[in-house]
Amino acid sequence: MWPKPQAHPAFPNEQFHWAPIINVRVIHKHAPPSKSIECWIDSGSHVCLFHASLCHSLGIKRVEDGIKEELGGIFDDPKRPVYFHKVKIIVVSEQFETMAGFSKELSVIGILGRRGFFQNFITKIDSSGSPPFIELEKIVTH
Amino acid sequence: MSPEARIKALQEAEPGSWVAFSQDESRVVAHGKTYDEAVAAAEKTGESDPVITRVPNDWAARVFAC
Repeated sequence: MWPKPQAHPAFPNEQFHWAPIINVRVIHKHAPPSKSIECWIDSGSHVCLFHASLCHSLGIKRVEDGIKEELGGIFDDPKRPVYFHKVKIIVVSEQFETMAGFSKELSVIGILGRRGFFQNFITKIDSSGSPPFIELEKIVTH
Repeated sequence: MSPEARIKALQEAEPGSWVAFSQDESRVVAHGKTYDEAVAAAEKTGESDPVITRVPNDWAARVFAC
């Protein structure tokens, strides 16, 4: 569940947002895994993104040492720098490796996007009920 | 933690801060200005495996996409 900024005239009966958030852990090289962090599943994002505040505990000394890309959103806001580092992401008992972007300007702690997350999990989001639910199925490749 | 309690906890947290929930997410155990601060504060309370989230700078509705 995620707070709404205020009563929304278009959705007057909603008290809060339901958001597709799951807990994951992140590993970089040989550092211990992060604590469980709440990440948003976002099929609109082409990559997984994490807040740069995680870098220190992951053993990434300088976020800027990663591969830089300027990313934008769906609006015409200025693009923001994101730095890619290779990490492993643990989802429940499964893990996968991916190049994930780190940014000091991410508004949330993490976003699970198409490259990495959706390549590894068939993701079902059923918002028809209350509460809604998320179902993940690991994609098995041979 | 009920949805209402979670919402209240997040709304009361300082914008841009980090919140540590207990491992079972039944309660807030600590806050911090950074991820590291929130984890350290949680560990001080005896919670060695907290669940961490970040509070946005404002509660504007967001559309994520890249």
